[in-house]
Amino acid sequence: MMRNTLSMAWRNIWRSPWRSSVVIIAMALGIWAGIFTIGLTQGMNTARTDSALNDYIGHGRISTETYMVNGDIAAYIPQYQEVTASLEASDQVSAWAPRLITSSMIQSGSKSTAVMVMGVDPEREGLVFSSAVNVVEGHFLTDPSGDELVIGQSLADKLDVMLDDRIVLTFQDQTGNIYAGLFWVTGIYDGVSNMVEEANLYVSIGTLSEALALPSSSAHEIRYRVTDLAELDATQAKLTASMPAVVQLDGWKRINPELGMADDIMAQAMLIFITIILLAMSFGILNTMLMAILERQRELGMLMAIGMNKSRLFALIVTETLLLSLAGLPLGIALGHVSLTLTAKTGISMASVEQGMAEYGIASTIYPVTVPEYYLTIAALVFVLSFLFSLYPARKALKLNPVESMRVL
Amino acid sequence: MSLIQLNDVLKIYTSKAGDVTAVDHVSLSIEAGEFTAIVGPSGCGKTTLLNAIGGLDRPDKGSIRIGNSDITGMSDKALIDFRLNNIGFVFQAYNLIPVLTAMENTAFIMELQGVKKTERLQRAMDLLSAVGIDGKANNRPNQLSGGQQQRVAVARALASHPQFILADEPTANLDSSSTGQLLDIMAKLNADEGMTFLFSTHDQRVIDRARRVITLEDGKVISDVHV
Ligand SMILES: Nc1ncnc2c1ncn2[C@@H]1O[C@H](COP(=O)(O)OP(=O)(O)OP(=O)(O)O)[C@@H](O)[C@H]1O
Ligand SMILES: [Mg+2]
Repeated sequence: MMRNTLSMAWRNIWRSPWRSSVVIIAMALGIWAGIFTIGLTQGMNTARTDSALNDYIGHGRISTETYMVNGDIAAYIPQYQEVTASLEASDQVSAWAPRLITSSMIQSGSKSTAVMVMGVDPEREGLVFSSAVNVVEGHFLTDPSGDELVIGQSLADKLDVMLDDRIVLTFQDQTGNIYAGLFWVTGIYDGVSNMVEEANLYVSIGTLSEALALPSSSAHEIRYRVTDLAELDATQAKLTASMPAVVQLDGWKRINPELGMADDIMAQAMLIFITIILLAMSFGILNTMLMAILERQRELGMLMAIGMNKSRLFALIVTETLLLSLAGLPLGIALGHVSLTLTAKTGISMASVEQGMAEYGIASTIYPVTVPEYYLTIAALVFVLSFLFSLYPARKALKLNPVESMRVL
Repeated sequence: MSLIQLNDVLKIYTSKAGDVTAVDHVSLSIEAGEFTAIVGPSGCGKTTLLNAIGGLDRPDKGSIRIGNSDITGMSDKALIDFRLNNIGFVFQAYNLIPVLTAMENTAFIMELQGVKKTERLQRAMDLLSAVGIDGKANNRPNQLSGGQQQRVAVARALASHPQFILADEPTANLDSSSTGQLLDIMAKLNADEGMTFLFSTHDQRVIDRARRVITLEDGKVISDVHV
């Protein structure tokens, strides 16, 4: 019976080849548009995330819980040697860079302001980050323990600081003593938001540990890269097991939740978007089915007259509606997949909007990605929606009275 | 006991233009094996009467019994099943499902009854050859003439092993040679297999073939003649 209903429904669809083709093609195009948009946004998102991870986040961070909670400079990573030894020992970790971070007052001439000072190891920093900062004048730190200083463009402007100027930084060390040191501006960086440029400046980690009266090899946090980002959780679990209990490891999604959430939010938004497309399509299908029932009143009346029961008639109309919506699905998915596969190789140039995109940290050429993980969801969505939309025409058909339907001329 | 028994059946249509008594206190009985025509001028109530007998429409008063079943008291759902298993229908037009072949149309009703596939295909083929359409078994209705379509409809009506066949003006859309052929087939099935036929017509050539003629006027039986 199922097979006969299916075959009859399929033939009924093709009674109006033009009308059905239009609906099926519209459905396919809608699905194509939906899938392509998902692939495009996901490509954009991935690129944005990748560049954020490469430029300034890294893949993960090691720190102590106390430091994460209150930023106490005394809460540096204990047993630093052991921790770094385990990083070295892991074949999953490709690079790591220690950092000391403290707040400080910067003073130049008559002006002063509060800043965050990042003590970094220039060489190691370069291994973890492709460009920790984009130095536009001078150069980045070269010496792990010199008096070099790299400052943001906005802060430099604000304080009237130029390359090669001398500047005083004032810290409170871990014992509470005030320490003032003279630094030499060797580089000015630019290209991030003004807020960041005004807040962060870089000095050598060795110099900072001395200034804060911390042990010579110490760090508030260690950023690291792994060889396989997909395995990050497993790698972190292994590292955690091999390290002192007080240190905590956080993946990039914990370090920068907005970035991780962007993926999830985007996925949600995309599903809503595709649902709206499919809803619009479903109305087209609803309309087609209502027309078909109106045209076939006589025949449906005859079917009921000769003894087709209501559930069978209901099944027929529901099946017709489902077929009408599902027929375009494989085509839509195929078009979506093929177009994403092709553009994933060539990329899509966004030259016309390049300016705007760069400000959001998005590359000017987007490489969409294929999104097979969505296909089943989309298919299910089409199925559920068209089932819901089939109920109304099916009910309309059931309400037909055989005698009156057959009287219609 | 008669095959079909009508007791004081009344059907009134109410409309803005006024009430129309389409079937006016009709009592009749039809025996198994009859070949009976319901005749009368247009609007006399033939279709209304046949619809009531076929369980397609409910009378306002009176009762209709078919075999052992009183169909006037049945629920809609039970009536559909009853029609499927007890009555063969041939309508004036639009009898067949356009997307199915002659063969599939004939087998369809058996499929609704739950008959096994091999059995229904065999029976459909037998019936199509009985009505002389076996050569066109795989044609769809639009590839058949009006007369051929009506013959497929007769085959389809027979397929369910009904107690009788109800045909409302089966020849109204046919030319005289197709009309003759269809009646030959119906008469043969009646004679050879004892299948009961109850049909309406206002075509004299068809009336001449009937063995009982019930004449209606304004919803009343005005004559009932066994030929
Ligand atoms: N749905 C309806 N509403 C109102 N009046 C109706 C309806 N159906 C039939 N009638 C009226 O009932 C009467 C009987 O109609 P019916 O169709 O049974 O006649 P008929 O003998 O079959 O006519 P014909 O030979 O033209 O087919 C007619 O006067 C018709 O106008
Ligand atoms: Mg009539």
